[in-house]
Amino acid sequence: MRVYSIEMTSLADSELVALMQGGDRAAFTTLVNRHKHRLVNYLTGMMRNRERSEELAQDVFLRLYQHRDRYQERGQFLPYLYRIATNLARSEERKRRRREFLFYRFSSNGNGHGEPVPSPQAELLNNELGTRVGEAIEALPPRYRSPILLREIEGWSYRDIAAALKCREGTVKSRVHRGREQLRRVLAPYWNGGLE
Amino acid sequence: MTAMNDDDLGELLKKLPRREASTEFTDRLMERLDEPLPGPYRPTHAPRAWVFAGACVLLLGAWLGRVAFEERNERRETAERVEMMRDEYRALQVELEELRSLASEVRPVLDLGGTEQVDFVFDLRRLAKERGLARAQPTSYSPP
Repeated sequence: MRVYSIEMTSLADSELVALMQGGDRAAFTTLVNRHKHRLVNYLTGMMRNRERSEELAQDVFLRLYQHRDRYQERGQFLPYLYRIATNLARSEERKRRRREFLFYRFSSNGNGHGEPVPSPQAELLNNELGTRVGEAIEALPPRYRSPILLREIEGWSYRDIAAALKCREGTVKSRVHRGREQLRRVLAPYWNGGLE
Repeated sequence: MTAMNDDDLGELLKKLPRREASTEFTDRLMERLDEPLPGPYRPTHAPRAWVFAGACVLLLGAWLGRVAFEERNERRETAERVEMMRDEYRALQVELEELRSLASEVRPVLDLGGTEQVDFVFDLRRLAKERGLARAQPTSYSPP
């Protein structure tokens, strides 16, 4: 069993996906363990709730497994996985906004959640600059936030981001550029020429 | 103090701490994978928000319907009142015309009595014509 596991971890994504499509759970588990941390980190940047981002990451993998027959191998597994994640995150964001819109006036504190929504990065960071960066990312519209996170934090190429977000490379470049501009504008008052 | 450029921003973003999946992430996922798949979605009850929104729409529709009904009734009553006033005006016009024609037919005569066969009347217009009398003048009248 141990030998089998070692063999699995040495396989490429495309090979693991092919095994998973045949119903191999060990291959699926290997894929999950390989990508879960990066996916959770990405979704934490996208969402406003860190616990929910982990649940959402599980939903992404569940959906991947349950609809495994839909994936067609073109060497684009990661963009495919992140497309599912981005769509789920956007859907979650829309639901949250609807809830806020519907219950805004009926909520005791007016934010529709009952509790103030903490910033995920603010929870992780204690320094003020980190808090500001987290808030600035949250303030970005989802169409800018997603490419910024993939480009700047995950280090993806424009081509892969375009495949994940199902749009043209030029559109991704433009959104990254505008996202950076907005971040710079928001962070400028806290920038003193270096990271403190 | 230098302005923040793309490299500065990139460096700042990369220094954000990375969030990792919890240690039980994979185990919980596998447990969920073993749970039976939910069947086709059958709503057992509408979410309260939709019920509330539906009730609001119904109330709004009822209120608008009532307002429209009342407005239509009011317009109809006003039109009926206007029509009645027009009818009355037309009737008054007819009556006035009749009075005018009657007045033009009356001759200035003095009834002197008579018999069963003959009525004796004195035509005042003829008298005025014979005597050269003008029409009666008011006392305040002064000729130019």
